[in-house]
Amino acid sequence: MTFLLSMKLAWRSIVANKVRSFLAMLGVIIGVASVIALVSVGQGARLSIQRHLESLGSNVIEVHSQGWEVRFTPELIEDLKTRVAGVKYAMPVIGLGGNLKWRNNFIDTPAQGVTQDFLEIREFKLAGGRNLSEVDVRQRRRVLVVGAAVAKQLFRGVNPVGQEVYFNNQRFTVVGVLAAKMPDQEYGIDRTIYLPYTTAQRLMGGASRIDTINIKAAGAKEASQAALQLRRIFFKMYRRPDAAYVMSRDDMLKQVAEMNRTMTLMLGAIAGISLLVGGIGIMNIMLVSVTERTREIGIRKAVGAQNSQILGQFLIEAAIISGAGGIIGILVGSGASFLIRRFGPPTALSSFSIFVAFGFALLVGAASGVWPAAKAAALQPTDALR
Amino acid sequence: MSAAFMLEVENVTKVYRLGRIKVPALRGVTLAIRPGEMVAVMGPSGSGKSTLMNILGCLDRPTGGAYRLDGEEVGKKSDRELASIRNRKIGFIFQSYNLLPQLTALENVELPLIYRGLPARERRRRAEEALVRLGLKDRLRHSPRELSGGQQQRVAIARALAARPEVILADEPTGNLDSRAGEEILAVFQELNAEGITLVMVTHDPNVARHSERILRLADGRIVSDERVRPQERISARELLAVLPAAEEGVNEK
Repeated sequence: MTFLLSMKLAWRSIVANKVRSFLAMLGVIIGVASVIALVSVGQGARLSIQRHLESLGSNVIEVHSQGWEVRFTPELIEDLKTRVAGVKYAMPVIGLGGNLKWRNNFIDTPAQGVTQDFLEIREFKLAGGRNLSEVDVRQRRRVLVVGAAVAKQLFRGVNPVGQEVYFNNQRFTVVGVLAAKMPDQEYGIDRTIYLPYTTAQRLMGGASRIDTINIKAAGAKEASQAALQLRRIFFKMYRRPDAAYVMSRDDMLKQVAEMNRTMTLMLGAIAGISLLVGGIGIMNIMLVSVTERTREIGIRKAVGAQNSQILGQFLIEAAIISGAGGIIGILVGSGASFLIRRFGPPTALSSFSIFVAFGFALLVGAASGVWPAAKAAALQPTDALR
Repeated sequence: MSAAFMLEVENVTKVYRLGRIKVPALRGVTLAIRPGEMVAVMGPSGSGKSTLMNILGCLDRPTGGAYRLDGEEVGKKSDRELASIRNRKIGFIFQSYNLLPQLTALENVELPLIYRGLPARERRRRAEEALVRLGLKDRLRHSPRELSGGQQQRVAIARALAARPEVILADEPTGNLDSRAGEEILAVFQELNAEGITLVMVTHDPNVARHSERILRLADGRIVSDERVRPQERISARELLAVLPAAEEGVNEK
């Protein structure tokens, strides 16, 4: 019997029992859909962390002070540049935030006090205007370089370069605009403004202090060696291991990847279990179907169907149920993932999870069809026609 | 083809086991049917008619004795070989038609040809030919549910015929039909028989049996009589149909 015809016959009998076939599929649908949706949430979280980390720039080490007595001075940072091997740039970072106003528009935005080196460290490109300069930093000038999202949201098509703006009611001049790093996101790295750290210190008055250092190493190997050396230096300075938190971006990326592997494995196990349950559902339905269609099997055998042909028919039927269930599951899972992204955390569909879930569904479906199909094939024609 | 007998049964026994009890259904049946014969098998229920038909049709194996179909010993064949024999040499007609309700008339007729592995075009051609011959030209795409009993039985005959069998075995083929529809089925049988197909039918109705040329009677698993119908006593279904009252509308259109 040609394969296509078996497919057609199997499809007929599935359609003839719509409700039951759908119920049999349900297990597979739920299994496949939940795998796809869950993995997409996990992938989304991983991707957004990863993109954030990557937007920090490659081979970057962040040093955070952890304690009031841990103070980073510009002199210390200059000193680190020469003491630590493989360091290309080092700059202080002061995090602040506030209200940015231009004409009658205003947005709340995070801001960072940095030096002219931030462009190189963070691997930004200018879309217009100029970078912060050494003079800006030395003279505590009130100048800003704005991220692409800020330019878009605040200035609404007007070129921001040269515009007067008010940041926390202090007058500033925009001197540069950055090119977007993550063009599809409204928040994040592109929605930040950069000013000289000296200016930031003055703005914040007495409360200002440098609590973060950004360091860029020459390469990946240098970065991990530099991170080690930095930990030693700060341990010696403060005599305690947690005085400064030294985080290398590449280490973080590795950790995220590791986390992702664990999560994928766990989701895989959940998927396996739910699909197994789905397979049992299919087996149950197929067993009922064989009992119910005993007469049909008898007729087919009377007109000369081989046992192998009966076996094939029932196997294909099981495979179609699980395959259709798998396809519906992919659609439902993708839809769910879309809805989650719409109203909740970011998601990212992974073609790998779709392939694995669908393949496993097919496999489980066919495997669960084996026993019922063998039962059908072994029926004696005289018994089946009685 | 060249065998002297189409169906040759020698001292065949069949014992069914129901748990520990052995129930003998056939206790030594010997018979021989020539190619082109039309034979009726009669007997009360429980006499072993259906068991004999199942064995003749290779649906079941005898417990003892020998059965040769077209000169080939069947008793020792594998399931696979039996299925192939059923597919090529035997056409079954059942009392309850046994069509697959989810398929159209045409697809039902194609079924044995599908299992034989014929290409689609050839299947379609043969199935249409058989259905047209049985007067079902306008019913090709109908489902069995949309057909009358007589029409369903004719689809079943077409299914047997499309496979071009050597032997047609019919088990109470007219049992569920009114007399006119039954007579039409018998007319088809007589025509097929006249073309050389060997035909064996089980019936309990003596009038149906008298359409054949030979009547076997079974009782308690044994053949108790084997007689030829005298030509002047044999009923011709065509002649009888001519004098029967016309069919109800919709039952007998050709």
